[in-house]
Amino acid sequence: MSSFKFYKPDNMEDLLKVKEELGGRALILAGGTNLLIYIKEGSIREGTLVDIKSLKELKGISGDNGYIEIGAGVTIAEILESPLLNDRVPFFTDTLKNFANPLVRNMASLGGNIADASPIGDTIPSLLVLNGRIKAACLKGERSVPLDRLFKGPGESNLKPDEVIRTVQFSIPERGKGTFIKLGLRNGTSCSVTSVAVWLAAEDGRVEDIRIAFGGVAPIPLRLKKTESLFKGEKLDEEKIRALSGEIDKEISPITDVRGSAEYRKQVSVRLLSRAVRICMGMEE
Amino acid sequence: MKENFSIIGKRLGGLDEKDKVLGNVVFADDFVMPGMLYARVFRAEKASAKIKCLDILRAQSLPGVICVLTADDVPHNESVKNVVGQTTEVGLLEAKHQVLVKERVRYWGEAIALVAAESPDTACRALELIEVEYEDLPAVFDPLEAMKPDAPKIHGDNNIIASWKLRKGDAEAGFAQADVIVENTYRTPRQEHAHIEPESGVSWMDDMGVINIRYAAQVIEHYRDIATVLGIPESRVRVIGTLIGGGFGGKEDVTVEVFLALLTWKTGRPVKLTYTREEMGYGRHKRHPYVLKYKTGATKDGKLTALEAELVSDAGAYVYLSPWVLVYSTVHSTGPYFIPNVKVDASSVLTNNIMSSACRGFGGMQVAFAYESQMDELAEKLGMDPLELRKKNFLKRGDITASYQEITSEVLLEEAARKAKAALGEKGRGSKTKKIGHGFACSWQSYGRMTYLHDTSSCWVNLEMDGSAVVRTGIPDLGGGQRESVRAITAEVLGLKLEEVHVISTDSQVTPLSGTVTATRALYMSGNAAKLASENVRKIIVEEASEMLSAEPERLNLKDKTVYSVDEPSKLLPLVDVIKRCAAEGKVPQNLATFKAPFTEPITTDIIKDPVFPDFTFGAQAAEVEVDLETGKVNILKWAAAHDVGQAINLNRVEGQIEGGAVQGIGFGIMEDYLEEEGVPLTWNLHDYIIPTSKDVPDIMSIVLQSKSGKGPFGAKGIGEPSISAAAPAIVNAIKDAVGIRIYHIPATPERIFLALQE
Ligand SMILES: Cc1cc2nc3c(=O)[nH]c(=O)nc-3n(C[C@H](O)[C@H](O)[C@H](O)COP(=O)(O)OP(=O)(O)OC[C@H]3O[C@@H](n4cnc5c(N)ncnc54)[C@H](O)[C@@H]3O)c2cc1C
Repeated sequence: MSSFKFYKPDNMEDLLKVKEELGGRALILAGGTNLLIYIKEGSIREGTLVDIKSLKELKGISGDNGYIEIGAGVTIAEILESPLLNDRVPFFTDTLKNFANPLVRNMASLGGNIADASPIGDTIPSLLVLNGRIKAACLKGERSVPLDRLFKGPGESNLKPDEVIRTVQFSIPERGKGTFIKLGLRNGTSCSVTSVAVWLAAEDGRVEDIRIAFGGVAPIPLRLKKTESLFKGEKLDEEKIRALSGEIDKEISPITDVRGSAEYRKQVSVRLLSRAVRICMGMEE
Repeated sequence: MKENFSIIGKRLGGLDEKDKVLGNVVFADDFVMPGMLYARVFRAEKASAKIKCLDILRAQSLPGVICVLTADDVPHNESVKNVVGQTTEVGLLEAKHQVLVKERVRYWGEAIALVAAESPDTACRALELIEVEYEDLPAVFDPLEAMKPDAPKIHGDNNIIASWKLRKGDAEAGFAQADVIVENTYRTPRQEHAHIEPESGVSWMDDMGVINIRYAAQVIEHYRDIATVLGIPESRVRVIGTLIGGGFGGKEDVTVEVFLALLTWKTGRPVKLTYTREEMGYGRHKRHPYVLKYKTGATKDGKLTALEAELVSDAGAYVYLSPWVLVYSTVHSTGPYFIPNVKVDASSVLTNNIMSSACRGFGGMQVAFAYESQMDELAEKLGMDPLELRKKNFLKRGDITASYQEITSEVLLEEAARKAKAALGEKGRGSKTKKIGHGFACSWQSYGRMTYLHDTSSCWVNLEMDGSAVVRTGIPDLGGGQRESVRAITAEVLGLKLEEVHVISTDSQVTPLSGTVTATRALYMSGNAAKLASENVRKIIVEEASEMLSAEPERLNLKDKTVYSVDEPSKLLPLVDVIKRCAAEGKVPQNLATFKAPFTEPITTDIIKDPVFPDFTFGAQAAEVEVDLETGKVNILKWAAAHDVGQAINLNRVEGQIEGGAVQGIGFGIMEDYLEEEGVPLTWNLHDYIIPTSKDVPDIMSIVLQSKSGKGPFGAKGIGEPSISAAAPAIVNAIKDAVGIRIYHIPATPERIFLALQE
């Protein structure tokens, strides 16, 4: 049987203190849309639930000069409704229209999606192509960690037991266009089978810069830097896009589960990347 | 009866929809009693094993645990039932069931022990303290493997637990006359019912020593099974059925009632048992997966000449309703077509998978996927329009089916298919990577139970002194408005408003038994019974009034609580005055009526050659789909469903059934499959077992046809199950139209479509 304590810190300092004191046994409860399931399933059976929902320090979306900072406690619904984000990074907010369902979006936080370190966390591929970073805070201070160095494996990140994610930041590239495609087995409340985010800047059909990230094709959400380098400088037509997309084969290692086989994930990922690139190139809606 | 209905066929408000929306209904799990215990079921985590040692001592001694029961505590733990007609090849069937595992576990999730404790937490903790030592036994998971002589045996010495056949004409000769022959193997998934409400109930012993069980039941007659297990008189068990939050056949077999009764009987205390969502997955039966081999022949002008089919269903580890589900598959296997030469062999096979049993469609659905895929493929080979081909072969009223049953109601298939197709309108344009297709399928599905089961349904109607009416009927309300239909019928016959009729339902010791809410029989049976009882009450009133008004009884009518002469409408009496006089004369305006379905002789051989069903409902559904060439994903853009319901009782409810059937059928067609690996369940929650959401289905265009030719009240036919079967083949036919590939193994998941596209 499980036994839990509950604690609701009044401010950031109290939060960091309890983290300092209890480390991993202080279970941060943001929206609870993952955590409560782990508890119900019995994979977490004891600890102190630390409710951060009402901490103002973790709220807020701000930005200037193409630099955006989102509080870890901001919910997916709040991101979707943010005029700033819809204006500056519409592809990122579009990403989240197929996130779970309205009930979950109202509860689920951005920080929880990242800290959960799921290979199919739907906010992550887009943040990866924006070169996103998190600010991890502990009583001693704060450090900034790039997202592509945060994840270790399914459910495992490099956050230290006494750390919490305070904010997520990224800069919007001056040029280019982003897109995110999620393949789920259904349209509502659906886990990604695989997902892809691409940021691409091109001049006369030639790639100046490209960033590619996938969810669901490896133990962690992945930037595909090798494939990116192959795209760079290339003049793209459909044929070329298809051929280069096929190169992801060497960087991904999907698994078979109830949502799809490894082979399907591999092959469909190639198509999804082609599509995402075509969309960024304005070749397709 | 007059033809101008004042209630029947209108859009009626419901009895309970407002309370359901507001959360006021006391569903099974909402009910509490003082001193109530909480029960949990301890389940096997092996698919095939012997129990070497079962240790419940630690659980028993946990403070707060009141009792832990095992098979040894169950007075009659095993039951055996024989299936009529299974004498030639299968042998007399010993349909074994056990309440709790005695020695041998046959599927992952099988119930081994029951715990009752003072709190849900304690009951849960007690489960963790029960220990079992298993010895693995050989197992078989593939039904085709299980049919082989040397396969491990699940019970007895034959895994084939039912086999039925159709034999009509000479199939070989029929294929010789065919210009084209289409031959394919189809596979269908293990669909989960996924009803929103878990299996749940509360039991208690009353002050007369009767065990009461208030639970979500599709079959209140299970009080008899409870009495058998406990070895007590049937009169000592009372089932009170609640309003049900969905069942789809999932609450047709025994669910929590026997466990509850055992615990109350042992402890003398009220007990609550509600399954968890996960337990609904691995502890409860599913729809039978089928392998269907179909060979269909037709002449070049599109006349079907022969059908040969082999059907194999995976019954899972226990017999349950598999033999009967297989009868449905066999009878419906031809589709709603006249085929001169038919040879069908169907078997149901035990395996160590989760058991299969009743699920909306009851065997009629898997075959619909096969026969309607075959029809489209034949049409393609013949270069003929798919509807033209079907039109040449549709059954007509008066035709004899391959199971030797005459069709005695209208067959509006052509109209249904034409209207469903037309409702789709023009095909969307699609894009380079997303292709659009149209497809449709027709289906037939019986309503009413198999006639050799001699089904009856009773109902009691009474007029009160103020002219309002009370109805007593045992029929459970599954959420489809079964009680409402009874109310509407009574109100119509007695000329009352809906609010003037009160229905008391679903109590095995208070309401006359009306039978199960299964087999699309509720309206047909309990509706006819209510009509009969109401008409008998009406007769009492009219006869009394005819004396009072000096008018012929046949020329009197009841409306708005008055009895009046149709010839001289000014000649009238308040209904209340007639009732008062009836009372004074001792002619109580009440009636208990029993409606009997047609009775036929029990089947005596495994070849089905006598009528088995009261009648059939016919319909068609049409789909517009978009297929993503790059991912294989299907989006349903438009959906139309046309069914002949004979006579709608409440148009809103008819559309509700059609919409629900279509959506559940869509799930079966493109996404639902309860997966197991070597008998170990993989998709036991609604996170991994996915069903359509509101974002996965478009608005369903329901087209309600009314031939008035059915056997139900006022010519109604049943629509609960018939609305589900055409959906999957309609989608698969539409996918074919969109991208030129045919899916033989549903659900048509993105991966299956993607792989087929690569070939
Ligand atoms: C029905 C359903 C559908 C879903 N659909 C999707 C989907 O489509 N896409 C998707 O990506 N996810 C989906 N999820 C998963 C989940 O909703 C998201 O991952 C969500 O963003 C988690 O946020 P939360 O606030 O609820 O996290 P919580 O459950 O509160 O926390 C998750 C984990 O992160 C830790 N944590 C939370 N905040 C912090 C912080 N600031 N610092 C450090 N650690 C922290 C917690 O301790 C916990 O370990 C779904 C979940 C459900 C139940």
